[in-house]
Amino acid sequence: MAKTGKVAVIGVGNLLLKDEGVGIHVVRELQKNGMPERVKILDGGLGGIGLLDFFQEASKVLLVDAADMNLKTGAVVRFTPDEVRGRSLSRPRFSSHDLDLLDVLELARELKRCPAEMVIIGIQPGEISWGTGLTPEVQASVPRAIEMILKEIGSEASLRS
Amino acid sequence: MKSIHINVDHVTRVEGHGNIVVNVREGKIEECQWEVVEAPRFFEAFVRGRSYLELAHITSRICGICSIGHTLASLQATEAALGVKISEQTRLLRRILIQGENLQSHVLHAYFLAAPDFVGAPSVFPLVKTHPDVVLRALRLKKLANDLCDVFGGRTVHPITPTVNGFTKLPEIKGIKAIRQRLGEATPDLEATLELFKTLKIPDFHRETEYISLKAKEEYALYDGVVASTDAGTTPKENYRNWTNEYLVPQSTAKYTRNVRDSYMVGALARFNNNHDQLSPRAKKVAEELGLKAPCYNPFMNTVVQVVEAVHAVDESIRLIDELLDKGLKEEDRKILLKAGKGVGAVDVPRGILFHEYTYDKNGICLEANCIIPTNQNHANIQKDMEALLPQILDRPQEEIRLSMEMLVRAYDPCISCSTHLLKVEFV
Repeated sequence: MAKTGKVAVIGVGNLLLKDEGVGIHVVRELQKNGMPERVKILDGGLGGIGLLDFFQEASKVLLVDAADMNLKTGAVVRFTPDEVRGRSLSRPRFSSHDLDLLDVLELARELKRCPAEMVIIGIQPGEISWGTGLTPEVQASVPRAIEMILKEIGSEASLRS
Repeated sequence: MKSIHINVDHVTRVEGHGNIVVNVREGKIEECQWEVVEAPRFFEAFVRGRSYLELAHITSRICGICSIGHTLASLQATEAALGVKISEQTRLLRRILIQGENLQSHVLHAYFLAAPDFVGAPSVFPLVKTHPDVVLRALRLKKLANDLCDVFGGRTVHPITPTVNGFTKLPEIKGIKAIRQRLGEATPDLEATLELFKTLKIPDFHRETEYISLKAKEEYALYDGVVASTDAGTTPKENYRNWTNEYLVPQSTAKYTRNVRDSYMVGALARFNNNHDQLSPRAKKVAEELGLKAPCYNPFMNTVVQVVEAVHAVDESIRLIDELLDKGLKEEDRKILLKAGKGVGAVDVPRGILFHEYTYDKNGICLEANCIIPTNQNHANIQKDMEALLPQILDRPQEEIRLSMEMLVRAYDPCISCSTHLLKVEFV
């Protein structure tokens, strides 16, 4: 896809499973900042095929999600899809709901719906169990994730305190 | 003399859990079972004690695909119990919503669940590589339907705005007009869908059975009407229990139903057999091109009728939205007077006719609920179809028999977790 200069920052996660919802917490916090016109902040919900619609106009997409990277709780890492080992889209699966974020990105690639630049901001979760709210270490990672996102946007954004 | 042992544990590409068991010893069929193994849901139990304003929200969670259908059947039942007559505007908005749901569900089933069998793929994901245009088209049509449901119901799944005697928030005209435009632009995608389904080879199997659906004077009934049977004429929806006659069987956690014969079928094919004359002109033409003629006794054609109904859904949505835009929308008073009562709602959702019945006390608290789901009405018919199909294909290779049985189940587009009520029974 040609570079349009438009950016979409999409948080994905489940708010009912504590740290699993960190992606949503991050974009909600981010939305409090002023953003230039070319940047859209989106709540991607639980992810899935619906994310493909969000990829439509943006030439750069930033996905924010809880990611088990085998790191310390609250670690924030910026990476791209080709830097991680994915599973084949055609693998046997128990259900067609069994689609993770990397699957969706591969789907986007196959369907030529992939933005020119795709970046993932992964946050190592601590607790994934029933409940709302983040554990302290993950809560503390939110400002760091936002800082990383603003850097990625190449932000002319003004930070409203 | 052949021995065959087929044990499909949890059929794929259906909603919910069911098994196919076939045992043939030296040419003699010993076992041919459709086993429903889904855990019970207990909805009818836990809505007792809930307020009349909550029932639709709770029961919409029976299903993620037909949550609109459950919502509307639930609201109908509550309104019938409380003696509420809804306005023409509310009726119009609900009828648009249910067309959106039909379109969404049928596209999902026809493209993602059924079609892979016909092109030799295990699921839709390999088709992404081999048929990307087809997958994109399916996603486009599904998105159109989802967005329609979002505009009119406040949310794609589990609608928020429909409530007792109206809508908590009316859809915005700007959003309605945008959907109207996209519906008009869907023609190339619908034509491509027709062309694709024309190429699929539908198995040639026929078993005459009873077909039950709604019937209405003024339109191809989805939202409201009387209950119609190809064997037994019509009956008011309040009489549904005398036609459904639920009963238990050991191999199923869902009940079976029967009316005039041992089993009956509900769903798109049943609606077609009862009401095909009322399809939109374009849908009728699509039916003709797909080789559909009423009465049709081939359950595999259910998916084909879904394609016809998807076209009809687009045409109906356009017709109803144009009517709505012409009349305009106005805020309405939703106030009602509470009273004790009992009422029945009946809606024909993508998979067939759905009944909700509630009893309320004078404070609008639910005392009792009964839900009869389309798929649980189909289980007996699936079983009978399997028993009839198996002897006809016994001479084929085992893998082909297995695939045919799976395709038969898939043709019904069963929503199994909607359909279970009962505790699991140990089957020996």
